Amino acid sequence: MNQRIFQAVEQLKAGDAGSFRKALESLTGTAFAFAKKVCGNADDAEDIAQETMLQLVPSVHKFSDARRLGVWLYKVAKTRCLMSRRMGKFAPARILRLDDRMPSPADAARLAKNRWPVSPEEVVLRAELREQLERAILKLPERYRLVVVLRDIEQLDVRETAAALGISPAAVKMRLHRGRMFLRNELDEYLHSLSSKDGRRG
Amino acid sequence: MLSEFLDGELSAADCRWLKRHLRGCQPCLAYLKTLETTAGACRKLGETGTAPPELVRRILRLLQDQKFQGSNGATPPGRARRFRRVSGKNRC
Repeated sequence: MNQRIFQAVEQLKAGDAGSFRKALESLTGTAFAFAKKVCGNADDAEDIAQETMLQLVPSVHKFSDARRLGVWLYKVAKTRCLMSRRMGKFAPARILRLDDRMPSPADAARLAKNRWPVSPEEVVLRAELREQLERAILKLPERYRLVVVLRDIEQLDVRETAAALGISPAAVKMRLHRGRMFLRNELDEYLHSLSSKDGRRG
Repeated sequence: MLSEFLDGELSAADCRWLKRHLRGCQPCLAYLKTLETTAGACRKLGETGTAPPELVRRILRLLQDQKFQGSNGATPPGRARRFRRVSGKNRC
């Protein structure tokens, strides 16, 4: 679970106005970052974060447990993201089939020699790679994207992700693996193109 | 199975089997490493992200307004949208 949620719960327990504001900033930041990754649009993400907080804050005192609060926040934000995308102009024109992007057994020989020339972890702060990864996440069909964002970005565990999305833990594991495979393939293409560009420069 | 292995969620027996397999299978090992790096890169995306200050101020104003009206916490439909910021693209 995202550390900001644990901090927010501690701040809420303090009970003063300054701590409340800090908790609100943390929780709004969490909802905003989640919605931006799911919707890919800052305007929609602001609306979603705002509506999520207006729904959450009046009941926030009922949650002394950060994990339960987090699951509830993501559940509300997820529902609003889906509503927003279905109604909005950012709804995808067509749904990508993940099977089209999965490696075939014939790729095995290529994979045996496959070493990424640059580590994405080392260069993820480079704006270009960051954008590439965010674009790849947005290409994922919603059911996979939600799982990848909650598990790998927001750091929820399998049970929390299953509870926030209303699906089984087995479905979370399956969607996470397929989502990661898709992202890995997208990064593979990008990092190799980067390497050949660098090679030409050198 | 590879993602479950990375996340430490594989059963002990499956874990032993996979480790044995990986010792002799270069394609699977290479694939596993790039999959692990992908998950690591995603994790780094989550390390940033704060709410725009104007958004927090607007939410505080709306919460004050709700309290003033004695609301039970429910946001009337359309209320949030009425109080939206004027974004760059809509600004005259």
